[in-house]
Amino acid sequence: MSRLGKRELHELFYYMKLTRRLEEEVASLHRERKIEGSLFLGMGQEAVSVGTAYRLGSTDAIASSLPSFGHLLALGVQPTEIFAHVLGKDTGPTGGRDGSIFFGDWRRGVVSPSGHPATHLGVLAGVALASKSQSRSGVTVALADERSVATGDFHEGLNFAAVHRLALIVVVDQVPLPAAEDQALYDRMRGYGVPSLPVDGVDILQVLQVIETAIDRARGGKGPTLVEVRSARGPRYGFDEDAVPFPFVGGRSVAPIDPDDRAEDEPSRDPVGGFESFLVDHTLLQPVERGLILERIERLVADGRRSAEKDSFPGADLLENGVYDTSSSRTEAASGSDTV
Amino acid sequence: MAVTTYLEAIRQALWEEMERDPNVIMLGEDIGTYGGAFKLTKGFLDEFGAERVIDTPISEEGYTGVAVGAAYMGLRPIVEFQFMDFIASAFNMITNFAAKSRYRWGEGVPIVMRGPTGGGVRAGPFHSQSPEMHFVHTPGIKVVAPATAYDAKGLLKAAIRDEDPVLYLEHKKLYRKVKEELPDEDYVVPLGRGVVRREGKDIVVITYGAMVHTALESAAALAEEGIELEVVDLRSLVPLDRKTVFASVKKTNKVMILHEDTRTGGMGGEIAAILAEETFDDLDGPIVRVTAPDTPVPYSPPLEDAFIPQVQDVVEAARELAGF
Repeated sequence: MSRLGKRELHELFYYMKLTRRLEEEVASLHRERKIEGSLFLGMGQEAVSVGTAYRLGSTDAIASSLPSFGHLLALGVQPTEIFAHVLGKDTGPTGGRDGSIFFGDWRRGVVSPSGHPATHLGVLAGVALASKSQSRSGVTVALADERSVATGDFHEGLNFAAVHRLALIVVVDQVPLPAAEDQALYDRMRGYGVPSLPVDGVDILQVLQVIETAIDRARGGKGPTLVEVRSARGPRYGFDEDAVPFPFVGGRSVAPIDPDDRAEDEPSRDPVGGFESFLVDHTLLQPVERGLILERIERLVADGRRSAEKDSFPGADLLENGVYDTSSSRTEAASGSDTV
Repeated sequence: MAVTTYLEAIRQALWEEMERDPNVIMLGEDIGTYGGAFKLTKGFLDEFGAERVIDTPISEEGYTGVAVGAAYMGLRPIVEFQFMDFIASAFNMITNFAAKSRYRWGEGVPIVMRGPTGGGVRAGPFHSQSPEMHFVHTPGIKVVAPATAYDAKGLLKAAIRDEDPVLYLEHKKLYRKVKEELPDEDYVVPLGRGVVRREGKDIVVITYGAMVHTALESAAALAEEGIELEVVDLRSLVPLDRKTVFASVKKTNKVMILHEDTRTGGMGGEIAAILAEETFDDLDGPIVRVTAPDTPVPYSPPLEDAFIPQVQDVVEAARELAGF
């Protein structure tokens, strides 16, 4: 792994903590009934989402069907944009056409996923195919979880990327499964000739190290890599009793992220708190520095929420706009009285 | 000017667009080395190379997704479904990813999805279907169905140059059967423009695809009885050319809608509803649908012939309608 300076370590902490605080605030908006519909949050996945996106540049692309917003923040998306998005305001990137995890902003290389967990693998393979044919050095990263692994989309997309040795990195956050099932995914990747790298998704430094390896392979023309992570996502998905039960967790034993829930001798599975302790313990984060970071986060979250809440909802008069292109004279779509 | 088949017209459109725009690429099963199931893409691999003529694994959902991603990057992918029936395997990617992309987050998906559709060649239930209405019903997708070689070429060029996903339905029965002289120069047939194929004062037959020819044959037969059919070829199902349709309805006051697709939820129902809403005062008789029945496309020749609307079906329906 490239050596990390103090500035980068602080950035990683900043993005993870910002993700956590933003999602706590989003949860609060949901409790206050300001966000309607179901809500998915990625608490416990911050090291995965932030660590995956942290090294991406302007020629790269990412799409995620995980509920974490960390990758967006690490790419420079402002908290107020995410608040506007989940609130359905017209200032969000979709103008209220979509919400929840379905955030897309192509200028930043963010592809909005669809509602099925692995459709974005094939789409990102297409981005990588074009990047290769255009002689760009871009890499594409698909974040998904174990729901995606059984779908046809997962295997069709990954197989295409493997056949064409495309710069696709697939990051699968798996809830702990029995050993036999864990082995199965690894074995399946061998069948595609795709290396599968396991990593503890609670430790952002490990995540970063593995992602850097995968990025190097991708940029070096060696094709796709699968990264298998175990994050600490857990019961907080359904963060209160009124929330729609989160299907990911259903009946499986998942590691809680609340330090109070763990046994005395068990290490913390909270990626944010754990990394913060690591930095403090190694004198890499002084109290003053920590205070400044937290203050900045609180300000951004509070300002972002306030600003987004003030923003307007999209007018119903915009309902039918944007289904088809209307900018080009070459298209005859839905314009003029002679067509519908 | 040279006499050109419908199939050759499609091939020419692909070839000329590949030459015109280096961003145009093609993806599909056996389109490269093998030259396509109907030899429509023979020679493309040699001319344009494996980066632009991409043989895919059998994975319609996957490679349609690849096309969507490549489109985000500025390419103009053309996806071939070896038979249009196989588009069912890409339904999720088309309807949930490609069709909604512009509306959901502002990113258009300029892809063309093309392939042989329709029956009449004894190909059975999995190689004969008319899947257009799944996509006519999906906001965000345009749907076109050429009936002539001229339109096959011009509509395909327009589809490739369009900024939205276009489903391009080429009727396999027309591939080598329909031919005409085509202009040497570049031209397009704009999406969303129907055309009157034959003028007549008694009944308008609104149709598209291979049924245009059935309608024209029927019109010729009925003319001998003194019943004059006007034939409107929609060419585009989405966008729909209401203006041309309404003008013919106003002129004839009697409407027959003819399609090879099955009856319930077919294009006929939609057009009938539009006409009931918009042209009620112009109608002097019931809106009549002549369509395939609500069954899969059968294999056995007598069954398939009974499934696909024939000239005799149109003639009988027209005689009855003329009596109103």
